Amino acid sequence: MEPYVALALLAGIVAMDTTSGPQLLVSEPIVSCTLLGCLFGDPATGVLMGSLFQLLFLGYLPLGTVRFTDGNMAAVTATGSVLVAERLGLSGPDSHAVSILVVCALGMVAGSTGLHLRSWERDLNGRRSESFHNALLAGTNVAPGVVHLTGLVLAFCKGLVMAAVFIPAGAFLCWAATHLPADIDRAALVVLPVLWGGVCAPGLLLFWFKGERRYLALGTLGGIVWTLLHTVL
Amino acid sequence: MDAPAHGAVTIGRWALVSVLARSFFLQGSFSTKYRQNLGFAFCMDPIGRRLWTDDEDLRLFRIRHAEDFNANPFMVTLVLGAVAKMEESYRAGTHTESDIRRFKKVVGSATGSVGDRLFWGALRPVTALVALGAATIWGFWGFLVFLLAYNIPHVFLRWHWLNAGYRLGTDVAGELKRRPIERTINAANIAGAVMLGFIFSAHAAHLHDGRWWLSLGVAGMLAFSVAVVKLTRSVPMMFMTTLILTLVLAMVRAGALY
Repeated sequence: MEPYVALALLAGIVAMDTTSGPQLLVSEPIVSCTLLGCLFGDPATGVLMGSLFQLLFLGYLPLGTVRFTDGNMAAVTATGSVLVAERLGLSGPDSHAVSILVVCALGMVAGSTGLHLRSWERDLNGRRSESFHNALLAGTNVAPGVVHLTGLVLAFCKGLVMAAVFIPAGAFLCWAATHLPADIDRAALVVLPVLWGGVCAPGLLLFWFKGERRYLALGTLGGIVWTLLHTVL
Repeated sequence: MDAPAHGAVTIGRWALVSVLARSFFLQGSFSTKYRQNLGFAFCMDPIGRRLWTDDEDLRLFRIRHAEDFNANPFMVTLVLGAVAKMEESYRAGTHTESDIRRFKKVVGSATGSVGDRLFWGALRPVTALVALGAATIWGFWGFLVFLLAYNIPHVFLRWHWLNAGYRLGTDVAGELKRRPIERTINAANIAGAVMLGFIFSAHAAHLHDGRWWLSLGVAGMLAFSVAVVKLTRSVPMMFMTTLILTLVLAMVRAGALY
């Protein structure tokens, strides 16, 4: 029972930490997915999923009122799904690669849902802010603490609800993936590394448009040289 | 409105520590319409309780700080410290309410610009890349590298800016233009670009048990993804298409499609 409770708590903390507070970046995929992996006894999957989503959302700038896909919850729901499916025996080593592809897609759906939920959450916060301000203007000396911290609780609950909806759905999809021919999963395992090109694209574009092209080129060359030396030696 | 002079009262260290702790939750009730107004009032409340013992004065204090406000959440302590100093001056009769309101708006926006470039645009990507590199060497301990590399400077700067804001008051604008901030942003951008280029190409060039064509596949997927991002301006859309393409490639390889 304990990893599932910890999973729910972590989902709530990630939802809270993304915007509401304390913004210690525990919500970042490299942290949350690794912790999930450790909780479920599969840190390698946690680190893999965390790395994929961290790179994918490297260039995201959650500035002010900008609307952005909830990449942190996308990572948690995707990683949680594959780990829960493994623990419950719904998926096995014969469908691991396809499961990862499928839960990543589900994660994107969760991220988009998170975007809309955040808009709704902000509207609610706006109404409570207005009530607080009106109460002060009307002569009632209300302390901001309880009104303000209710927003944190709302964000936490949003994370719990998203985990409760998307992780079971993801685990089901992992189970469904076991019904595909084993050849497809073996082939997916071989082909999976090409995904690296996709997840690195946003980060590379970020630095490209920042004008750091020659340093990108320098790093790229360094990586190739390092790999060749590593292979030769 | 000018406050009648109440005599000098200083806030004290513990009130500032309370403000620092509360500043981590500035965006607890962020709204599209009023943004961080409630959070700012929440952070300033220990200052208000210290300065204004009369209930009516405290209510007016809370009204002042419950107005629309926005700042970078990591740099907001600069504004909080300076406004705390201004509130002391307001109590002593040397500043007006409109001075405080104007100051909050101007300096809040300025921290937004500088802080977003420093924390979201530079520090977060580069510490994430350091963590990814650490993860390849130390496995799951990479996450700890990220948390320490980001939060040690982050928490230190929060405390530093709170004290600087309180010390400098309305002269706080100079803190935003300090060269070390710009140098840090530039250095982080350079380091991030080098690291990402290295991480990407090292992985792409790795021969994957002799399957050299996978390295070409990675490069091809990169080109495809860049094209999709430029066309759709959507990272989630790009990722969905790469996932579908990867699955299709797997099915083709397995002979399921042909």
